[in-house]
Amino acid sequence: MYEIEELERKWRKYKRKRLLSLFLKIVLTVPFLVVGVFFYLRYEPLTGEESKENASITAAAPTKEISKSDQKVIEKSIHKTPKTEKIESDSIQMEPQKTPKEVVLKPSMDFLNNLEEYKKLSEPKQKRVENRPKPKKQETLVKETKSSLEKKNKNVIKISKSESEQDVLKTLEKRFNKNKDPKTALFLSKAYYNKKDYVKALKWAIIANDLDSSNPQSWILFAKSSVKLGKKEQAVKALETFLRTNDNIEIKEVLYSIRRGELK
Amino acid sequence: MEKTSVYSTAKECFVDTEDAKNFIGLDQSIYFLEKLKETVKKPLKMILLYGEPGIGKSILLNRLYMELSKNNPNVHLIASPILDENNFIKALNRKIFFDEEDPDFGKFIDKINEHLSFNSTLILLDEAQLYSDSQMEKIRILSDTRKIKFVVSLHKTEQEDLIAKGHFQTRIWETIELRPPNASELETYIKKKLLNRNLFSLANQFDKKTVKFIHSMTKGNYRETNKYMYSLFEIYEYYERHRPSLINFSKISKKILEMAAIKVGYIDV
Repeated sequence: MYEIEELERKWRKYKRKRLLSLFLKIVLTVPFLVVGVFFYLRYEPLTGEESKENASITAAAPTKEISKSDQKVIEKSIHKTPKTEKIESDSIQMEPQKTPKEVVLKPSMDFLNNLEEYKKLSEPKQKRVENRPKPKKQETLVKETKSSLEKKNKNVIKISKSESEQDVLKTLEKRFNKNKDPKTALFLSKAYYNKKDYVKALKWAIIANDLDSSNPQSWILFAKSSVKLGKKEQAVKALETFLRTNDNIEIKEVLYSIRRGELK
Repeated sequence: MEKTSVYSTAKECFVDTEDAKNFIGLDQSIYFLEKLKETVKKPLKMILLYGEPGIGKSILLNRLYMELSKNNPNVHLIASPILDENNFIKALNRKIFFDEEDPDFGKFIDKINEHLSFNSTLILLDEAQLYSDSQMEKIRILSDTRKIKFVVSLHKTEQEDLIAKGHFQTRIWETIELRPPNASELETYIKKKLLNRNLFSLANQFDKKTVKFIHSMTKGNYRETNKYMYSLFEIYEYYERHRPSLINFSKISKKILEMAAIKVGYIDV
C-alpha cells in the first residue's frame, strides 16, 4: 500500500494544523482572560476588608485640605477604637465623602413597586371575597380583574392557550395512532381547520375518510380545506363524487357555496 | 498454510452487506424488528419504513423477510426495485401465484381478488423511492384490494416530506422511522461484529473514547461506520506487515484512527 506514506504525510500536516490552531486559540484566549481577570479584580465590589483598607489608607495619608483638628480626630478614632468597631468608625468618618454611601448595602426597595402592582391586582380579589353576598358586583369585579389581567398578561395567556391546544392535539394524534378511530381523525381535522392549519386539516380529513368514507363530515372538511388551499376543483370533484352515490343536504349546501364562490 | 492476519479478518467483518444473517441485534434494531413484526399483523394497507441512507433499513427488511417467510409462504421481498412496470407486475405474479405468465394490470387485480383471501399476502419493497409515481399508484391500487399489504422502505430526504406525498398520505397507517445509533449502541455494534469472528482482544481495544471518536466521524451511520472500520483495519494490516513495531496491541491508535478518517474523507487536510 504505497498510499500509506501519502496518508502519513497528510496526517502530519493535519497534526501541524491542529497544533497551530490550538496554539492560536491559546494565544487569542489568554490575553482576553488576563484582561478579564484584571477588570474583575479592579472593579470587584468592595468587601468589608477592602473598606477597612480604604479607610486606613485615607486615614494614613490625609490630604492637605483636611484641617489639623480633623486629622487629630481621625488619628484618635483610629487608635482608640478597637478592631471590632473599626468598620463602624470608618463608616461614620467616610459619610461626608459620599463613597461609603455607595458601599453600604441597602435593602432594595424596588420590589415594593411590584408589590404595589400586585396589590392593585389582588385588591379586586379581596373585594370579591368581601362582597360575596352581592353577586352582581362580584360579576363586574371579576370581569374587571379578568380584563385587567388579560390586558397585562395578554401574551402569556395566548402562549399557554396555544401550547395547551397543541398538547391536546398531540395527545389526540397519539391516541389515534393507537386506536385508528375515525372520530378522532375527524376531530383533529376540525381542530386544525379551526386553527387555520389547512394542510393538516386536509390530511386528517383524508385519514378520517379513508377509515369511514360514509361520514359526510370528512368530505366537507376535505372540501373546505381544499378550497382554503386554493384547490377549488379538487373540492368540487370530491363533493360531486360523494353525491353520485349519496344524497346529503349539507354536502349540497357546501357544494353550492363553493360554486357560488361564497366559501373562499 | 499462511495464518490469516487478525486485521484482515476484522476488515472482512465490515464489508457492507445486507445479508440478514449479518443483522446485529442492537437494542434499537431489535425494537424496530419487533415493532415491524407486530405492525404487519395489523390489517393495514401500507407500512412505511424510512430513514436516512445507510441506517439499516435494507438489512432490517431482509431480517423481517427471513423471520416471517419461515412460517408464512405468502411473504415476499423485492430487494432491488423493478423499474419497468410490466416486469414489476410479472414479478409480483410470479412471486404470489408461482406463475410465469405476463398478465396486464387489470387481469392481475382480478386474479388477486379471485384467489387471495383478505390480508393474506405481504410484500416487502426495498428502495421504494426509486419507483415512479405511476408504479406507486399501482401499488396503491393493489393495497386497496385489502388482499395484499405492503411494507415500503425508502430514504428520507430533506427536500421532501415523504409522508406528505400524495400516494402515501391516504394509505399509510403506520410509519416507522429508523434513527442513527448513539455512541454506546455503536460500540455494541462494532464489538458484536468483531466478537462474531472471535476477535475478542481486538474488540476490547475499542474503549469508549475511541468509539466516541468513530461516532463523531460517522454520525452513527452504519454504512459509513463499515466503510471507516474497513479503512482502519486496512491501515492496520499494512502496519502489521511492514512496520509491526509501531502497533500498540493494547489500544486502538489515535494516529491510525485519524489516518483512516483522512482516507475516508472525514478529515479534510
